[in-house]
Amino acid sequence: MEPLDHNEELQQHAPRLHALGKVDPFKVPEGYFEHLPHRITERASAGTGTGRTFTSRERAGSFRPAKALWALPALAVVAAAVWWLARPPVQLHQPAEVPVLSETEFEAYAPFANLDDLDLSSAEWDSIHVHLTEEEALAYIDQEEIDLHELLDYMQLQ
Amino acid sequence: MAGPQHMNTLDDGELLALFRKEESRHYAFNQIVRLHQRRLYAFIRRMVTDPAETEDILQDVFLKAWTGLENFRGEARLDTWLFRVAHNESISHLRRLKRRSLFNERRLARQLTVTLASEEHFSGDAVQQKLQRAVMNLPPKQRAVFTMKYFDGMKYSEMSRVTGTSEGALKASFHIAVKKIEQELTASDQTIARPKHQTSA
Repeated sequence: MEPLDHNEELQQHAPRLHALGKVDPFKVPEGYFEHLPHRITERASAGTGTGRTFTSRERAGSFRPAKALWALPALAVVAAAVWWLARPPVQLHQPAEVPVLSETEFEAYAPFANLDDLDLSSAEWDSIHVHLTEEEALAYIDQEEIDLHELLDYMQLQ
Repeated sequence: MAGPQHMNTLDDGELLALFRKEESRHYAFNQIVRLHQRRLYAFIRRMVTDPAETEDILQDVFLKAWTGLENFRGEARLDTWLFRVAHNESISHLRRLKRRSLFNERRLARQLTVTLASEEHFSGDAVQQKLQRAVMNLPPKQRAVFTMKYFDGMKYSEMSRVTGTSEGALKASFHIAVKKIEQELTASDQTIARPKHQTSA
């Protein structure tokens, strides 16, 4: 225990420290030491399904091969997801090569060939016609800042 | 603070033999905790000061002991081995605390002294507070050396097994720690003794 050397050293180099009594000033919660052995043993044995238990820090920071076995299915799912996301992009709508149709072929194409079958005559075309007076038309042209030259060219085309 | 309590006459070998048997494992471990809890608690408490952190570390020490005892070959004494675990856990805790708080050791020590001011956790007088404050100003490894030697009365040879440091280095570390603490105690004595009108001059 080297008590003499230790005391001598303190006396020689630290008289104030040597004069202090070695008391334990830290308070411990009542009953702490009475309950701790049972609590620790209970906790330790609770984690011994495989004869081992782990502290919180061990759990957070170390790799356990036995525990990793349980993670294999999850790992497989994650790997599949990664593969799915990383695979080369599949073009679902490949640009089709459209053959150039002859006029006959174009006319023979059913939807267009039967345009007459559509009852276009029943459309209420009048409903989209706008009848404006001269004043209204001029006001409209003014409002929309329409170039009169362009308007005249358009009317000539009609 | 004292060593093993006198409630158990089983030695290390007998306890380990009981621990290795499934039917007596709980009993043996319970006895091991009872034997060493107070000494380990006192050491950890002096290292980290905070009571909640002390309890967490002590629990971790014993949980590690539970797993490690299966492979314990008895080359060291059981109390030395447990002390080694407690020492390492305390130093790791202080390192983590320092990293997390981004405080330097001196600021961290000042923060810890606040805990000492709490009457709920500390019963010492003003002199004891001064001593604890001085101890906490030591760097963690030196604090461990001082605590083991001064408070626990451990031999340098055992301290060497606990810390994995040579006895010579431990003696030097303790000597420096003692001088630092004495210096702080002297400085605080002078501050208190100096009359107020002189300090302001």
